Parts: sequence; structure tokens; C-alpha cells
Amino acid sequence: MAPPTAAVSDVVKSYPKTTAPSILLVILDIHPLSWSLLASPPPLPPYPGHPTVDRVEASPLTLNEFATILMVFLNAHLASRWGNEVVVYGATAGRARLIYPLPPSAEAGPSKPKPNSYRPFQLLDTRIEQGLRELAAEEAARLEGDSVNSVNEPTSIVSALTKALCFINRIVPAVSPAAALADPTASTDPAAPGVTGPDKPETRILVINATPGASISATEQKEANEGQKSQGGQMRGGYVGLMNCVFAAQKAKVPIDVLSLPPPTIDASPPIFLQQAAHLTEGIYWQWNGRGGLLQYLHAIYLPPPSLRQHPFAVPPQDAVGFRAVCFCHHKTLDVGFVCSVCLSIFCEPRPVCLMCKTRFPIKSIPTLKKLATYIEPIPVPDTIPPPVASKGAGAKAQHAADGDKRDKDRSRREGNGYHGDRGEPIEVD
Amino acid sequence: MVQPSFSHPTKREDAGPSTSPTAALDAFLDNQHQSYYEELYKSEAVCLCILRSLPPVCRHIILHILWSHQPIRTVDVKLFLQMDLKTPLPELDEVVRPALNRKILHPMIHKKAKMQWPMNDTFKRGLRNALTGLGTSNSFGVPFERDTEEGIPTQEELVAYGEDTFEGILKYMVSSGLEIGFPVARPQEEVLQLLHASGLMTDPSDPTGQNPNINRLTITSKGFQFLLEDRQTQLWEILMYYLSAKEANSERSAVVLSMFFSLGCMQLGQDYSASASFPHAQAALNDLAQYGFIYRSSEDTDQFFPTHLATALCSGDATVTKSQDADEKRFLILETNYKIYAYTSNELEIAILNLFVDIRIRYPNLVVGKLDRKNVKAAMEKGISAHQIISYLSSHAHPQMYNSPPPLLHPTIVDQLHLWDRERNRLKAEDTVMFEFFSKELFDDTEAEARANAALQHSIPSQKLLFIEPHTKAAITEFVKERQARLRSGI
Repeated sequence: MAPPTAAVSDVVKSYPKTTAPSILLVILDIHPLSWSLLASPPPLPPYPGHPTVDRVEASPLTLNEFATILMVFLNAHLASRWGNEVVVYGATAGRARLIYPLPPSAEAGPSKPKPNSYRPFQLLDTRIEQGLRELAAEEAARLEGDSVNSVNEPTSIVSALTKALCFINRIVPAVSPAAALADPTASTDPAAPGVTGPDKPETRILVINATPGASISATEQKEANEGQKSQGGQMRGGYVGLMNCVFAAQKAKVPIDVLSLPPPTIDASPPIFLQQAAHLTEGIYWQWNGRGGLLQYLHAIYLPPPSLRQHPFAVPPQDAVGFRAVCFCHHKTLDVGFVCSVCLSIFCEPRPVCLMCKTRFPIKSIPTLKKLATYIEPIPVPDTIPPPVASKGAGAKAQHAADGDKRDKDRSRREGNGYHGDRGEPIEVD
Repeated sequence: MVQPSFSHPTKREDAGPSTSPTAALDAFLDNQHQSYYEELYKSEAVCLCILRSLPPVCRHIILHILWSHQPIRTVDVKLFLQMDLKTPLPELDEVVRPALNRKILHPMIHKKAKMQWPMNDTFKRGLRNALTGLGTSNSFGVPFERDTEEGIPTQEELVAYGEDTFEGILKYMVSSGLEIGFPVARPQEEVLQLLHASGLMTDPSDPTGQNPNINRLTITSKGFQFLLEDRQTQLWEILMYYLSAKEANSERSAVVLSMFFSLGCMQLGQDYSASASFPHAQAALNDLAQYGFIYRSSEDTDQFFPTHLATALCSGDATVTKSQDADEKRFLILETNYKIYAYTSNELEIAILNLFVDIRIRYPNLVVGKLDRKNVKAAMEKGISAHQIISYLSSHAHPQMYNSPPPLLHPTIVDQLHLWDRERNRLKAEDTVMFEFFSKELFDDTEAEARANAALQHSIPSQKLLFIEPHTKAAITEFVKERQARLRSGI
């Protein structure tokens, strides 16, 4: 009996005793067109081999319902530790706005506390509801007005991301090199006052995407080019901005988690740029399967703070990431692109003069480049990484049946838990 | 003589307080029965606070299964924690041990070829209601319906009121232990009775402790140790003493304990209705007012304001209280020549310092003193240990102290404090029984017998003296008599 008990203490001891307070910045996509799609989903294809999952119908999801689920999830985040905080941004067609917390100047008179809800929860919930209503009303007013076309603008996730990163930068000031030099003990001594040490809050961004990449691109780019089936088209024009945000987040060690709501029936192709964002910042990317259970998924996948992920908690296996890029000239998603060797701009066809930095390239080289490009065969991106072979027995049967329609645990995710969270090997494209 | 382990005790002690403020509470809860928890978990506020007191991994497992109908299966936990599927079950039990101790999960049962922990339904319902706000127990406090905005104290006033009241009690305690007391207001009678019942103060003229004169209490060594704790620990200790006193009177304490948690979830600056919030704990609420946990504008009003003492009660890591008066709490500069500079004008802090520091100079905002052997040993006589002095010094260290390379307190001083502590323990008093022998033979035989029975404490063969354990006296006397008789008959 002695050896197992020794192991007991080792494993349990390796778990952290406390975690730093965690700040969760949620970016909620409330584009009206996307939510109208989510509210009337097409029937789901059969899910072979798993009767429990297969029985569940496609569940329509309205923004109202989802807001309720999101509030419970955010309450659970606040509940899980003292000092945890939540920031919510709403992103709609072409604009983004901070919903919670309100800026101190605009603090409305606090509503009466309710005897049965914890005050911070109550403040958060009422404010989110109010904020969403305001945004919806504005959106309706815009449609009434002259700018009917505004609804066709893509969701401005980029704008919200930028605001979120600025927010993080404000509350977690980076240690300036001069300060670090003057006070080398500050970061190492846990007892030191200030924001260093274990009390320094962890920050992470959760992007809740509702906009299907493929369908938006189809409506938007119909006139642009019919043949090119462009994925992730919602990032049209915002590609550079998004990538800049991603690299900034990567540098600041802020994970960007992505929950993509459109199920595969609406959105056959994943929003590859958000997927890239999650991959590059070591966040979690996960696509809803359209069969309900969102509350459970949010709790299971997105609740543990980054310091508890990988060790000890499992994260869902990340789908293979397509590392395609968008060209700067026509905003097309490319398999094969041509890069300016001076400013690294990407173009869909070889150009004698770079559009960005005006560098001239020898005109003779262009036919050669074109010829060479035809030899390159695009590498297909696999849908997911293959399910693991090992540790199946109990894993496949370990089905949670959760509340109501939540008995639809994704089988691949369950099995994947046994699989040690390897990301799909990135498929590089020239 | 100096042991290397002395040199860095500060590190471990810094890690300690982050979990320990609720140590008194944990000890109390660990001894409670299932039915007690069932009653506690009827309150949503309790469920929320207990959840937050769990270690992070355990807490997230509970949140993970919160919305599930099913009991939590061991295989699921193994997958979630990426454990090997062959992991022995005791190990998994260890992971969720805190939840089992708090009766959130029932012990593991075997059902349909699966090992699982069923979740406590009362807790599950309570926590779900806490998150959704659908409860009915009014555990987060019913706001008071007031007609006028006048006479509402600001947050600063409430904090000041709470500080004054609680520090008043501490000052009374410390002044009773000093030769030169300073004038302090006497706390109310119930407070004094609790201080006496908890053993923090005692009446020296009443050794039995049966009917003390509560106007002549003096502080005990336990009381001195209490003074050096940080605020959060003190609050929980006082509350637990209060709860034990209630239990001793065979009153039900679950209602009172759940009121503590409810107070911990309230908002500073908001007024609540006492009769609606705590219909079954009115008396206890009135008692708490004497310690400064709540503020009432007048005796008989139904309206009350929780102070920061109450609202910060449940913030597990004490950061809330620390941030509120962080600057005030960090005032000590300790030099390697044992000189102490304390930038404070707080009577209580100075009185506490006076326990183990020889105070030389006193300015309006600065006290200069010296740690010396006489004062430190006097403090140790009162029951304060070296560890407590060190943790007090390090938790009150001035931000400037952090600018020198760690450790925070210079090892010289830390070691010296430990040495002074050791000095006190050089002699150990033990009861003994002395035997004096005339015959060398009898002495040797008895010594061998005593040694064989592990009864020997000390022997001096040259003077034929034996010191033995008192409880073996009868047996040894018997042996000596018998041996004596045999030796005599042998001659």
C-alpha cells in the first residue's frame, strides 16, 4: 500500500495551492445577420456510432438564450475566485463597444440589491442585458436610417480585440526595463507589494464568434470573384489588424480563446484567422457542434484559467490550423502567395512594383515566378487531427449526461481528453 | 549552534498566511457532521464562500459537474485531469479530498460498474441558485427600505467605525498586559466574557476560572499570540470562539455561521434589514455589533450597515483587507544593528511593538526602538514565540525593506531571535521521584530494573541516587522491598 500513497501525495502536491486572480475579457459577436442564421439552423447530419449524440436535434440559438448562458458562465468565473474580474465587449457590424464594466464617469445609479443574488453577479447581469439592448437598439436605428448597407459590414472583432488589449495594458502595466533594473527583487519576491508576484492577475481574451466565415464571404465577395471560395472572409480588410493584435497578444502572453458558435452545417469551414489567433497565443479554439450543451461546454473548456490548463486540466484537441493568409491587393485568402522581399506584403499575383513600399522588381522575373507557382500543389488541410488510438476503453464510454439537452458530449472531445492535448501539426503554406 | 534552517523561515511563512486566515474556520468545519452541512448549504452565500475556499483544482472539478444530472465518475475526473486510467482510486479521492471533507461530494460509491461520487443535492441547488440568482433564502441580505438618504454613513466612515471598535478591544487586551497601561475604553460585558471564555484573557485572582471578575482581566500568553496575528485570522478566531460559546450553551450554531458567510457577501456602504435578512439570528447580529462587524445608527433600528470587517471576511486571501490599509500596515524598518524604526502613530501598533521592543524615542509619527535580549525574552516569557515575532516583523515590513536583496529580514536578527527562544528552553522541568540507596548492590539491581522498564530518568552512581518516572514509583518501591528482603535473607 505504501508505494501508491507516496504517489498520491506527489500528484496532489503538484497541483497549485492558489492561483492568481484572473481577468476574463469576453468579446461577443452580436452581428444581426449571424444570429438570424443561428436562430434557424439547418437539420444536423446524422452522427454515426453514437446514438445519444445522434438523437439530439439541432438546437436553434437566439441571442437572448445565449446571453443567459453567458451570464451564468461569467458568474461562475467570478465565483471561482475572489478578485476575478470580467470585461465584456460587444462587437457588431463595423463597430465594437465596451459593455461591462461601465466607465466610472458614466456610472448609473446602482439598482437596488436583490436579496437572493450576489451583488457583483447582479451588477454584471443587469449591465450586460442593458448593454446588449442598447447595441441592438442602435443597430435597429442604423437600419432605419440611411446606412442600410452597414449591416453588410463584417463584425469588427479587430476593433474589439484592440480595445481589449488596451484594457489589459492599462491594468497590467508591463515592467519597464528601467524599473526592473532598479528593483531586481520586485518580480522574484512574492511578498513584495504591488502587482508583481503571485497576485499579478492573469488575463485572457475569449472571442465568441457567431459569424460563419464561408457564408459571409459568399454574400460579400459574390461580385468580387465568384469562383474563389474564400474562407474566413469575414476578416476582409481586417486581416492585417487582426494579425497585429494576435502578435501583440502573443508578446503580452495573453491567450486568445475562441468559441465559434456556427455549427458545421452553417459554417463548413472554420474561421481560420481566429483559429490562427488561438493557435499563436496558445488559447483554445473550439467549434460548437450545434447540439445544445453550451453551458456545459463553456464550463468545461473555458472556465479553468490558463495557469491550470494543460496541467492538470485537459484542453480539447485543437483542430489542424490552416496557415493561409490574405493578399493585400484583393483581400483573397490564398494558398499560394507572392511576398514582397522588402516589406513582406503578400500579393495574389507577382507584381513589378510593390503596392505597399513601391519597390520595383525586375519585370523579367514575373513569368518565371508565375511558372514556378503552377508547380506548387496546395497541401490540403485535414479536418481534424485523427482521434487517438490509445486509452479508448473507458474514455469513449465516459459520457456525461448533463442537464436537459446537454447529453450530447462530443465524442471526439471526450476521447481527445485522453490524448495529451497535442495541437495539430501546422500545415505551412508557401 | 546556528542551524541553517533558521535563515530563511520568512519564505515559508509568507506562503502560509495566504491559506491560513480561515484556519480557525477550517478546524471548526472539519469537525462537523453531515446534518450540520445540510443546514448550512441551504444558504446560497455559504455555498459560494465554501466553493471559494476549496483549492483551485478541486473547485474547478465541482464547477465542471455543477450542471450535470449525474454523479461525478472517477473516469471522467481521470480524463479531465489527464491522469493514467490505471490510477488507483485512493489517489483520486485525495484530489477531491477537500470537497469530501466539506460534504460537497458524498464518499465514493460503486454503481453500474462505475466508481462515482454523488454530489450533495443541497449544495448543488444552493450553488446553482447562487449563480443564477434564483434562490429564495435571502442569504445575500435584504436591503433596508429607507425613506431618506440622510444619515447614511460613507464607506470611509464605516471602515473607520469598524477599525475603531475592533482595535478598541485589542487595545484593551494589550493595555492589561503592560505595566504602564494607557487609558482605554472598556469593551462591553459580553465581549469581555467571550475573551475570558476563549482563554485570551484571564483573571489572575481566580485560578479556577469559574466566576471571574471580568473587570480585572489580564491578557494570557494565548492573548499575546492572538495580538500578533494578522487581522483576518483574528476575526475568524474571534468568530469561532463566539460560535463555540454558542455551542457550549447548546444553541444551534449553523444559523449563526451561515450569517457570517452572508455578511461576507454583502456590500460595504449598503444598508440591510436585520429582521428580513436574519430572522433567526437577531441576537447574534446584535452581538457582532459589539465587535464592529456591523454599524447601527441606533440600538432599536432594523437597519444595519456591514463594515469592512464583515464584508472582507470571506475574501480568502486577505488581499481585500491588505489593500485597504496596506500603507498603514507596512511601517517597520529593521536594521541589522537591531534598531527598529516604526512609522506609525497607531496606539495599538505601538503597544504591540512595546511588547518585545525597547522603545527609546517617540515622535508624532515615528517610534525608534531596539530589539534587545531583555525585552524579547520578557515577551517570550509571556508566551510569544520567535516565529511569531519574525512573522510580525516581516508582515509589517516597510516597502523600503524590499529594496534590499532578500531575505527580507536579515539572517543575523532572525537567528538571534531563534537563539533567544532556544535559551529559554535550555532547562526542562519534569516531575521525578528520587531514591537514595545505602547498598551498592541494591542500587545496581534497581537501576538495571528501572532501565529495563524505561522508568529511569537519571542515575548518579557515585552518590547512589536514582531518579525515576513518578508513575512507576509504586512498582519500583515494590521491587526494592522484595530485593531488599532477598538480599537480607541471602546474608
